[in-house]
Amino acid sequence: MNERSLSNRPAQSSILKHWHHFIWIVVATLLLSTGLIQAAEDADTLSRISPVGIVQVEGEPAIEKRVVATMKVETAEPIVAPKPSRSDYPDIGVSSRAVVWILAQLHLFFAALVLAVPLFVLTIELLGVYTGDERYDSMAYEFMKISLTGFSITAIFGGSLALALFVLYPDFMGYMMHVFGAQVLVYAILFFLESFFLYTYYYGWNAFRYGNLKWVHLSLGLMLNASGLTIMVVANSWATFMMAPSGVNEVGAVVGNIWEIMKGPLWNPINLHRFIANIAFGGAVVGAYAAFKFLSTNDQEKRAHYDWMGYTSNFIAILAFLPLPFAGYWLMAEIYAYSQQMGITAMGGILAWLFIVQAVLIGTILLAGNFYLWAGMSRTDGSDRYKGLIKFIAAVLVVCFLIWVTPHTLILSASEISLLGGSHHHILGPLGIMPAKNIAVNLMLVATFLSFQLYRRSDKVATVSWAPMGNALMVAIYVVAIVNIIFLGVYYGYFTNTVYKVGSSVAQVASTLVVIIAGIIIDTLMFKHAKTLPSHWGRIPDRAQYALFALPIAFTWLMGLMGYVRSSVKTHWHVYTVMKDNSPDNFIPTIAYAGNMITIVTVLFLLCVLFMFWVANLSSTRQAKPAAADAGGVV
Amino acid sequence: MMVLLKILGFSLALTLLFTFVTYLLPQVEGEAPVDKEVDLSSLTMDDFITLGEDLFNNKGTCTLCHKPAPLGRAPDIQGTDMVALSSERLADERYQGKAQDAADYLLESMLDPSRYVVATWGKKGTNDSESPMPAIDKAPIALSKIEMNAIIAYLQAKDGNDVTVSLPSPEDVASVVSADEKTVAAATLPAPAASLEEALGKYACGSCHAMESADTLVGPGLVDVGSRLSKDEIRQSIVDPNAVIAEGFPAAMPADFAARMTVKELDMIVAYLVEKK
Amino acid sequence: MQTKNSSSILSMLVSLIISFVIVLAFFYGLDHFVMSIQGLPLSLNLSPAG
Repeated sequence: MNERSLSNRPAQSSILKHWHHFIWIVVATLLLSTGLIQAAEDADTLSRISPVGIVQVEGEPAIEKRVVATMKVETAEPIVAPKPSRSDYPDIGVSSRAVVWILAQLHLFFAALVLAVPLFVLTIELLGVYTGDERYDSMAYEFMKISLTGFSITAIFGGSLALALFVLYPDFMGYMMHVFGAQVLVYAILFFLESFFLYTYYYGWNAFRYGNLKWVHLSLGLMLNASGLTIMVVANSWATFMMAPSGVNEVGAVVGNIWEIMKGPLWNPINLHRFIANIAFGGAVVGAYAAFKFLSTNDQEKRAHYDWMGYTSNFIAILAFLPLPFAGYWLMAEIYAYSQQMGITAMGGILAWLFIVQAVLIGTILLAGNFYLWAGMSRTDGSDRYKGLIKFIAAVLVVCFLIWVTPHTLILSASEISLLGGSHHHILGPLGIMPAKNIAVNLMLVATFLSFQLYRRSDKVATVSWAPMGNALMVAIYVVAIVNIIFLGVYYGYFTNTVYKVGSSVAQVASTLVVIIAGIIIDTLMFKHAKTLPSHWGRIPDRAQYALFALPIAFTWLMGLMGYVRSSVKTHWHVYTVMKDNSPDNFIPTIAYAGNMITIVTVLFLLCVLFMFWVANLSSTRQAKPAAADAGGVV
Repeated sequence: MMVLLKILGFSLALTLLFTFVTYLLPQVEGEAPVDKEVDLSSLTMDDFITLGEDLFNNKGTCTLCHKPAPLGRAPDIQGTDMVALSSERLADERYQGKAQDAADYLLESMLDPSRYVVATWGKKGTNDSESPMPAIDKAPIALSKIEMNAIIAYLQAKDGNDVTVSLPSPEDVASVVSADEKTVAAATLPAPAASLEEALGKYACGSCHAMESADTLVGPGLVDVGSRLSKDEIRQSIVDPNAVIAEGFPAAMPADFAARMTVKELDMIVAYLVEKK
Repeated sequence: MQTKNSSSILSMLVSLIISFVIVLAFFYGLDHFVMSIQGLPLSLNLSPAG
């Protein structure tokens, strides 16, 4: 992304590109060297007697050398995945899984935040360089300032998580350490690199503010992002190894090099999905900061600033959120391809109910995002033209939302619940191909885009001569696309066979994409030299800010939920098919238990974030010098 | 401060709302499969069939896919007379397997699901040549031979057909007890034998070679092998048995000992045989 | 005033009708295209063919 936006400035960008390449070369070399070391070690451990295969004359001695060479390495035997029994798991009185769950989730929340923030901070900083508008630069710096403590919090939770894992799951961690070996060192080195770039980037902000020094600063930001992302993909490989191990054989003995271990079938889908989701999550969290600052001041200038900051954060969050379903689809498809059983456990088995909760959360996010856009229309004078449409969009969203969260069977009888026993059930079909829900989801996306489009139009008046034709075209596209989405869902979903039902969902998504793409193209052309109506930052009702709190809460909860699903599809395995989980917690808990856990981590995260914001504000607060004793006569 | 409280209240209320949704949904725990202790010596056929049904519904995770249309992702087994269906399948010209009867066919389908894929149920894009079903004797399901037989018994009995699989014999039981180690051994490099006895047992030398006499079992007796062959020749005969074959014997000795034995094991065996004079 | 208003309404109607015709044709083609690349051909009245 950074490279693309830079391409208009070849002179400077080449420096950046080289830096960019440089960091990747460093990282790749490090990874490669550990890979080689590891491969060499493995090769040694695994060498057995190679078949001789030489026909010899009777009585002639065999070649002694070969035997001597192989005998030397005999001492090490191949390490297979351990098979701990229940008593091998330390019992600390409380559920070990719960402890690790909380620490891991908090670590991941903060990791997601501190990986995402530098990414869009760098983008905003670049935007500032481009436009020459200092406000962007100040806002980027402010985003950085408020998330700075997050890096330390991430490290603290990361350390606690590692400690908890080593203490509570010693056999499992021993095995993981054996498999990943020296890669852990690379991780540590990356961590130091990231800290270095973080502090130089943040504390150097004002020192390297203009001219060529600004490009040095941007390079620091780029390397901060590069090291951060590398840390993420390295850590992701541990999670994906547990879900879909590669580079080991059926009993867990290492047979591949570190690269083969890392590059499992789910690694890249998880990398992409986490990358996008982190941006949405980070945007939502800093948006809450802006909303809080907006609400706690009456100074119009400050309100304008924080309104703008909140709007930008919301924009980042929603923009990153929209492609997320596609990344999720890819991940799910890869899970099915890796193991149909695992895919069904997630989507059709006991965990399938969680996707109803997911629907509630995504619905909340969409409703909050739309509501914020509608409320934001009051900033502009030209929005009256579109306000009449809002109630229809709202109605469509609510109806679709209700359809989406309706399970197959609304009321479950006791016998139906008993039928659910085990890891399968007969009630909930594959949610993904349900025609009614597909209609609902696509219409919600179309409605959200309409809100967005109206918002973007609200401060502009088209001046091109073909504007009426363009509007007519846009209306026609919306109407026909909506009709098409409903027709596809109803006709192929209920009146033809299953194959066409599945196929029609692709055509529905295509219709939605046509609306979005056509909308962007038409509006870009139509409003090129449009007359701009005055826009008043800060003129937004207070209640709109609550949408900016609903977003991070829903995002946090959603992350906790989907992370739980991701981890649980392994069922009773530490490392799927390779190392069984024999701990007392090797079962899938009830949905309410999971809900409680997710709520606990969400609330803890909320408190930690408040602390982070509070610390950020401390730095700009200066205590007044205590007045002399005569001030109030209290002393 | 008021603002802060309001925000906290709002956030908390929203969080609790999400939590509340999870309370509305059915509360089911997904237990990890527990290895049930079944006393195989006093097992009746009825027990065996019940065991099979339990395995089919739980540990085997069969019903994850094999369920009635339209929810099934694989043919509906419980709603079909599988014995009658098996004879149809065996008569199908697409059938390429080796099974002769229903029990064989069912076992084959569990061990090697791609051997015969029911039309339209194959993996997408393979034109029904590859099955999406995992091999049932491998991880993550990893049923034992006895367990698979129990499932076959259940599938035969549920539609009133005769059960043709037999109850597990003591040998089967023993094989299940060591099944864990066996699958490990087959899959990879097992833990090296610590003693000579273990090494000889592990590679089953005694099943073909008489150790304490010159009698011929499959291969030559080894009681005096140390006087006939040098240390290196013995080593070579094990590592590459077909290089020099004792006169009059077939090339029957496994050629993969080189890949399976550790150097230490080989040394122990060779040292033992060299002393046999 | 009256005539101008009605003519602008007329031109708006015309552009709407033209737009709808174009867009309908486009989505009709889109449905055929998207379904057929998945190996699910449609007949002219959009019912499953083959």
